Amino acid sequence: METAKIERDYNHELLKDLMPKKFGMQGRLWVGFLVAVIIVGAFGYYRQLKYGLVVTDMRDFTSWGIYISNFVFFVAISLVGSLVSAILKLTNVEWRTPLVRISEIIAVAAITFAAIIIIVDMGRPDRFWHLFVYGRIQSPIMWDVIVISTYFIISLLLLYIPLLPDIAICRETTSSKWKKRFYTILALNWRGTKKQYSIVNKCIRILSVLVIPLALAIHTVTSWLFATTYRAGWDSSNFGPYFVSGAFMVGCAGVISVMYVLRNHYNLQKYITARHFNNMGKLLVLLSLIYLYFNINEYLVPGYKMKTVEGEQLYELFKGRYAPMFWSVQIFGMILPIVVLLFKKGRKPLPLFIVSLFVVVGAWFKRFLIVAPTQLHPFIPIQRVPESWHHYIPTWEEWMITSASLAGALLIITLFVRLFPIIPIWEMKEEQMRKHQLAEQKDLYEV
Amino acid sequence: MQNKKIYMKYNLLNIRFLCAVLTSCSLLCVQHAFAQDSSNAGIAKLTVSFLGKDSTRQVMAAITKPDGTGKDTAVKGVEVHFYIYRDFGLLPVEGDNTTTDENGEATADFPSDIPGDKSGIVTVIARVEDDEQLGNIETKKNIQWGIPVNKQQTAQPRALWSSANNAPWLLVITVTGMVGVVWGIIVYIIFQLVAIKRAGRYET
Amino acid sequence: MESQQDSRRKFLKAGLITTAVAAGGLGVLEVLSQDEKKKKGDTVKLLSPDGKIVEVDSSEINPQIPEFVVSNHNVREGVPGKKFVMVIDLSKCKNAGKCRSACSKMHYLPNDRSYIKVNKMQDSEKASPYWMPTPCFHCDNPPCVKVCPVGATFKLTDGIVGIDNNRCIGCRFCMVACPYSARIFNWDTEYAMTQDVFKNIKQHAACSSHVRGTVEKCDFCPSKTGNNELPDCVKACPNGVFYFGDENEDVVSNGDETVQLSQLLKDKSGYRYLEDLGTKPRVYYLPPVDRQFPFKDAESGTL
Repeated sequence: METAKIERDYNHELLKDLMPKKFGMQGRLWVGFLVAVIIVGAFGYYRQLKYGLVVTDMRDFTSWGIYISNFVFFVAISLVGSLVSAILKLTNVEWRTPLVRISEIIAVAAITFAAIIIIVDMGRPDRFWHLFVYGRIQSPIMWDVIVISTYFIISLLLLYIPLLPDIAICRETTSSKWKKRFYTILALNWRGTKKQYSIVNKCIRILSVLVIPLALAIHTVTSWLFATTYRAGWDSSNFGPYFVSGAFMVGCAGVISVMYVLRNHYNLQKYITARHFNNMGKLLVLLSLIYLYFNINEYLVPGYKMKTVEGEQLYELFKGRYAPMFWSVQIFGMILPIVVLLFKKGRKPLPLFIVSLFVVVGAWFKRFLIVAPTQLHPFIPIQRVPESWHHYIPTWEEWMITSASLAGALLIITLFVRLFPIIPIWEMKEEQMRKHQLAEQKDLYEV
Repeated sequence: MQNKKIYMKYNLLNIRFLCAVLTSCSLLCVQHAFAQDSSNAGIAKLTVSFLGKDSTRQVMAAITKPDGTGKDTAVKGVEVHFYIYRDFGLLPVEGDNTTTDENGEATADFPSDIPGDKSGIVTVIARVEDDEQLGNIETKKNIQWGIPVNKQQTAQPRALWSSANNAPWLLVITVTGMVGVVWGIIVYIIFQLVAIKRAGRYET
Repeated sequence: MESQQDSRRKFLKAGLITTAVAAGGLGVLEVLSQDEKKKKGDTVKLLSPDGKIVEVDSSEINPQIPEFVVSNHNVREGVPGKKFVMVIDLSKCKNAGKCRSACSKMHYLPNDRSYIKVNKMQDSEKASPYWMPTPCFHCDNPPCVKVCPVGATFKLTDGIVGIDNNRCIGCRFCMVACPYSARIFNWDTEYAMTQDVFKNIKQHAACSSHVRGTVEKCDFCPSKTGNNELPDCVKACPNGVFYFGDENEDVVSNGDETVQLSQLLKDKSGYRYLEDLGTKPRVYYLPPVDRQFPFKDAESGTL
């Protein structure tokens, strides 16, 4: 009887703080902004469907553009699901609990839009089904399709299964009829029985182990889309670990950015504390240092040799046309985070948030620098073509479609926060109960 | 009487007309015949034979002309061109003595590394081109001096560049194995979701 | 008397008619044996080389393709018994540009675009520049075929790397995988209507055709080469730069000369471009040595 009462008490406070709330003015403006961006992007895609890919600035030499670099960016961010849910869980990092669902929904949203932006990039999206009927297992794109769809299912399960108890709470506490129906269907008859909890815990354990190699696989296979070609700057055996380490870094920064916004907007300071920021900041420094190591390998080694076409492309990155972008990305997106976050003051919520934004934006442009400049340095020189073919500057349609995909991912996260508790209520409850029990035991002994 | 005259005139006209038609037709036919059978036009004869073996193989062409007494005499000083028939053109065969000597013979050195069909047969062509007296003469002959080439259609090997059905075994097994294991686990998890639903059915 | 005249007249008439018919028949046979069946009166819309739409009598378009190329064997298998190969003599190329214009015309491309490129190359600072035509190399270890996710590009037994524009999904992976920049993409609808033209003349499956959102490239003109004819670029070159032939019969021809392939490559030190990439191209180059003319930077031909 006593424990139950305490449970209900804790529950009350948790429910008040963590249950999804209606959108205020800010929330509505935010959603309206995202929807507006998506609509403009949809119009851009309509134009692309009508007139062909000629509405982009991609031409025969730069046949992959910001759609592909955006795709790589999305796949990179989606690795964070495995980082926080799985890696931190299997290493028994306790403070990860409030961040688990945030990282999972970022992962699911990102991988969804990775698939969408790839379809946008196709010259014949109406022939998408060819991949399943005529697919060739020898092609790295087929490997990418397989791993990405597998990772999507597993991330979705890793989001959904731990969500079940909280869906049940939503089902009990909601007043709207439609919402109750919605939650009831999703809750899968959740009653909170011991058996159900044991199944859920077992599933989470299995999925946590499974998702780690899969996360490494998706970004490694995506890097092989470039590394299996002969192009200068792509023909590198370093690409797998280079991409994966970059992915973990940008994913971590993404989680920090989202958790800061949610914490401030929904006043979750009690659950996402300064300690969380401190620890995530340390994690970000570690991941950035690993990424710095792979960057050095990736640029210093070919830079030492300066082979013909590869040398020209590196020169363009270090001193030439793309030098401003390259050095901004490296300094603001990688060096700065390392320097700032090595200090405790730098790991306070606000500076950490700003640094994370730098990391995320820098990572987007870093993927652009991986995809575009290489294609402007083929072995056979680019001659006898219109002047514009010597550059790649995305058109407004490309920018709008890309922005729409980013807005779409943010919209999925926003709508999720509106419908479900973003911090796992039952896991927080369990944690609090454990702490309470420990405190009680301590009292007993001290008496 | 007058009728008869008119009749005769008519007949004559007919005959003349008929003769004109017949002559033009026969001219046409004869031209045709000359164009097709120029090698046997009764003026000169070109024969091809093969001598030597291995690296000293040679093609020999002999030109003879009937001298009016029923015998054939050799024709000297005529340039003979030798070719090996190929699908994409005629491969010229060179030699030191491609102009006919006193015996009317010209030779060329047959290359030792030329592919033939699957039994090694090649077709050799000897030609006299645009000679002032002889015009154009051509003769063909087969010889089994080529390297036998089996032009069988080989099936696609198992390779990365082959069709979807011919992927390398290692790749097929590895990918199928990994996908099978992972998706097997996913199916198991989905069954667990069904179990959760079932477990809560009769509780309140 | 009358009966004799009568019968003579009859005989002459009969003879006249018979001869006339025979002569006429011979003439008709001559005419028929030269021409094959043509669709008279059908017109087809074409994209002319200078980018205008013209209506042309369909009998004036490319000659019919022999049936064997289209129906008697699996069109993803290739012409039986052949292994096409090309040799490009760099010592003769003067950038006349006729290969490019012939390729544009043959494939109904706009006149500033063709499947073959002619680039000014210079191997090192002190070496002389030279002009280098680059068609698709139809590699034996083709990186483009390896990466295609749907098998829209494939390797045939006769050596040609073909494209099925009805299967291509437009992912452009083959374009970045090709180290020789051989492939181009159909970015807009400009060429879409020529799909009707290609349907009318029953293209070989390996022929590049124009479908918006798919990849195209040099296809070694299968409708010509399957018929033992030389591709248009080879025939059009005024300097005899291109040699084309069958590796199985060890002979290549440039329209004027026919030479033994192995001898040519040995004598003139034939090589393949970027051999160390391991793609095994089917196009050999003869180095630009012993040139009869100096290198001229200005373009001398049309286009």
